[in-house]
Formats: sequence, C-alpha cells, structure tokens
Amino acid sequence: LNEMNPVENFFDQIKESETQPFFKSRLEEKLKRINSASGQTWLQDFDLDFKPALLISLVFIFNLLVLFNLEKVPESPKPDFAEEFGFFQNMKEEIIWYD
Amino acid sequence: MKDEDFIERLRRGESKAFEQLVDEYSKKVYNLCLGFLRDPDWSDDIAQEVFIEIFKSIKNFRKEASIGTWIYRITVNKCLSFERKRKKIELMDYFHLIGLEKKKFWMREALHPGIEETERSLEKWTFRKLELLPESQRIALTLNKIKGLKHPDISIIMGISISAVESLIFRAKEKIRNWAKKEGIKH
Repeated sequence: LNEMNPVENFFDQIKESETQPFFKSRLEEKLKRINSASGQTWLQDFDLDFKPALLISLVFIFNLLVLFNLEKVPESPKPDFAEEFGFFQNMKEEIIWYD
Repeated sequence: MKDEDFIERLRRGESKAFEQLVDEYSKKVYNLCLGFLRDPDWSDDIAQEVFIEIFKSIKNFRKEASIGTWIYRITVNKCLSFERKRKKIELMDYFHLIGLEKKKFWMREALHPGIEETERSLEKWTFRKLELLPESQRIALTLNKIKGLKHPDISIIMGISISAVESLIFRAKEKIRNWAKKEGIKH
C-alpha cells in the first residue's frame, strides 16, 4: 500500500517556470491592435493603397466568372418548325390521298 | 484581488487593472498551459490567447466563481481546443495516412522548462501516458497534480461535483500506477 506512484513523485518535482521574455509587452501590443481595430470593418483594416488594387481584382474576377458562365450556358433547343411542318404536311397529304 | 471593485475596474476597461491581472496570473496561466502542452512556445502562445480572451469577455464574467477559477477554465478550454486542432492536422497528414509517420507529429519533443534534466526519460513517459487517459481524467489530474488546485476549485472549473473530481483523479492515478507497474517504471 505504501508503494509510491513514481509519476506522483515526478509531478511533485515539477517547478514553476517563468513566462517567456517580453510576455507582457507582446500581450500589450496585441491588445493595442485589438483596441484600435474595434469598430472598423474588415476593409478599413487594409491600407489605403491596397483598396484600388482589391477593387480592380474583384472586378476582374467578376468579369471572368461572367465570361465563363456565358460560355457554359447551353443554348435552348429551338423547335425545328420546318421539320414539324413537313411532318404535318405529309400527314395531311396522306389523309387527302386516302380520301 | 478578490474584491468586486477590482472586477468592476476590469469591466470598465481600466488598463491598470488589467496589468495587475496579468502580473498576478501570467505565470500561473503559463504553467497550467505547460502542464497540458509541455511545449514552452505553444504554452506561451496559448497563455497570450487566454489573456486576450479575458480582455474580450470580462464583461460576461458572472461573479458565481472567483476570477481565478474563471481564468483557469478559459485556460483549460484554450489548451484543449488547441490540441484538438493539432490532432485534426495530424489526421490530415499525408505521411501519417500512408503509415510512414507513426508518431504523433503534433506532440513536439519539447522539454518542459520546469523539469530537471535527470527526469527527462520519466517526463516523456508521463506525458505520453497522460495523453492516453480519457480527457476528463487528464484535466482533473493535471489541475490537481501539476497546478496543485484543490478538489472544490477543480469541480468549479470542470463544472462537475467534488465527488466526481475525486473519482476522476483516483481512476487516473490508478491507471498510471498500473502502467508504471507493467512497464517497470521506477523513480
């Protein structure tokens, strides 16, 4: 019963460690960024120079999508009136012939 | 730091109060992260995330528990969700899937800074065995043995009864003791 668990002994020997250097200053930086970003939309986070490029890219991608989609749209099947008309005409002729 | 006044100052967003909180809890949070992740770099990142979470959600803090247990609860959740993410990456790993990589690549062979050099082999063994425990047993044992928290505090952090905590810790110790016996681990 008195046999000690080696792992328990091991746990007891773990020493408290100090946080890594600059823990507080790095955290402070992150919090500042969060504070300054609050209330902004995601687009406002971008630099001003980046906005026109983003807009042009979006328009370009939109155009590409439209072009590809237009090419892919299957043409609606047009009824072949000439053929149908011919078929009915033959029938009519046949009826007339039997009469 | 127990007073409601301090929590109110935190809620108002007083930077001095937050700094005080970081001063008091950064080491504790970092060490709890080390208890779960062992890796100093990952633990540092997660500890930072914990304080960012506190900063964002201090307004939602209900005074049902002490601020300390609330912080530890956030820390445990952050560590576990980090581990789950890493495990998902492991599942997606190509080499792991085709069987070329057998070991858990997400578990870096990092060294816990609070462990003596002479204990390194036992460190690896222990942390691997902790990994094999059911999650609830592992959380309870880590909070109790590595963080040194008392059973009532653990019950608040885990949201279970004190007797359930006792049972989890007992079973976890029992399992580890059996593994140690089987594998001839001696201290």
